[in-house]
Amino acid sequence: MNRNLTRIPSYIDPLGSLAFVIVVLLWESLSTWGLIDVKFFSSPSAIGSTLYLLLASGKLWPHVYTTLYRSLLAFTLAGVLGILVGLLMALYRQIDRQLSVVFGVFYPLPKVALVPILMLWLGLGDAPVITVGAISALYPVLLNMIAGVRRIDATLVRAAMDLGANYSQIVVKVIIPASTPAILAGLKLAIAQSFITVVASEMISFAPGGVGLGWLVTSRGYEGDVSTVFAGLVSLAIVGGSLLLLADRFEKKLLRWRREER
Amino acid sequence: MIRGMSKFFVDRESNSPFAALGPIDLEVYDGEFLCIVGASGCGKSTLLNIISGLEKPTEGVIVFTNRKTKNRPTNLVFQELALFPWRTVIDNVRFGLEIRGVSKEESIKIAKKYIRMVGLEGFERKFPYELSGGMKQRVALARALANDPEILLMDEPFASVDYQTRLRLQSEVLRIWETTKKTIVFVTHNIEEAVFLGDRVVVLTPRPGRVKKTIPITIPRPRFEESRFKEDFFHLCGTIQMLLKEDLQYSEGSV
Repeated sequence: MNRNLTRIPSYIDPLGSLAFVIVVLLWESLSTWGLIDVKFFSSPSAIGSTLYLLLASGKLWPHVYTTLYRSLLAFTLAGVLGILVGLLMALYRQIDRQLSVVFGVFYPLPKVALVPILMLWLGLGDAPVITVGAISALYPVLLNMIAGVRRIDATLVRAAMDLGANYSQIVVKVIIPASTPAILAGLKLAIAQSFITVVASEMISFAPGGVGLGWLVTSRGYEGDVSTVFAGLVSLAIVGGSLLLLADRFEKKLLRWRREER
Repeated sequence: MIRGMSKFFVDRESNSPFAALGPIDLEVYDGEFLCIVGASGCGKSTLLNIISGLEKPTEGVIVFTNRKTKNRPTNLVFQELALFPWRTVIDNVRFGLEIRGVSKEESIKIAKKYIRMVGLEGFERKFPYELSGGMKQRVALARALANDPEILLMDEPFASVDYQTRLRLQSEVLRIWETTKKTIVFVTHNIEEAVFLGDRVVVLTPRPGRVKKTIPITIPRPRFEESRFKEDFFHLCGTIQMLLKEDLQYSEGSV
């Protein structure tokens, strides 16, 4: 059920991409025949050549690289923090009581709204973008970690106790492995979340001479350079898709012990 | 040895304590196969949990005499089996040894011995979801045995497998008991199972569970499938059935 939502989109499947090919061909024809204004809508071939030029001249790489490492860094921070804090919250009632108020208050807040204030505090560049990305990606990890620990079959804990395990052994050898499916589900949501938030933050923390795919799309958009905007969007889709693909592979590998749910 | 042990639970609605078990006095002899039968809800599982140390009695004590090692004296085969789904068969069986800090090579050696004993050779690298119900039972048994408990506790371990598998598992438990010379306390609601396996059968009353009667099982050992068709067997089953029925009528009458 949950699996379907997070599955790789079907554009990898050759037959499933039929609709996509038709749309591209239609778009190309319409612009060639002058039925749509190329200045506003560009065309697949123009986007393709722009993308090729950006790649060949090496101008695209800094943007891709920047967005990628910002996303991954935000994701890593969120992952480590979310797992640790989530575990503590699930295990200790007092910590849970105190922290759930803090996290609860910030939960409904759109995290990108923090960009302006963080820019004032942390300056331009990586720091505010990564911070906001990490904050937004923290939630899925944290919530899944807590839910994962709470859902553990109590008999497994009793079995471990019966076999002589002490508290820390129960945490390391039962609670953490038993909640890996939940942790991985959280991490998978987190990688998408950090990527989305990082790009959105790059668009907001817009300043001349910046880097990042979000920045590229926004700045070229202001200049009316539609083909480059689309080239940026295509790059975003490819980078985002690759991240999810990697996450899926990784999850499958780690969850070999689970029955395939279909 | 169990002396004057009883367990009270607190009723959630009335917030008043009620007796779930006991007082019970019960001695388990070294090397014996003791079966405990009783109606559902009489506290059979609670009794095992208390013997295993997972739950504390409200009153009374459990005394283990003739201790041989410092390890936990008992291990429990859970009704729900409680295999660790992320661990392979061998890693499940190794769990207790790993916890105790036994080296990996040594624990693999021991685990393999018990996996062979329960007849699961060749399945060491399978995950629990790949096994049938009966095979899972065997893994749970091997896991408890690998910890080398002085008393093996079994809580209705065969309640969820089909009849034929159940009969086979019973014979295998007998064989394992004979080879390992473990003391076994086996809880079940199945009278034939108790008579087939036990040296003695303890009949518990409904809530609060008390020892109603202890029946010595005189059927000679070693026991085989044929033992089930001896007159003694039917006679003993009948006696226990009548003992349980008395209470059943009583409790039904009181509802």
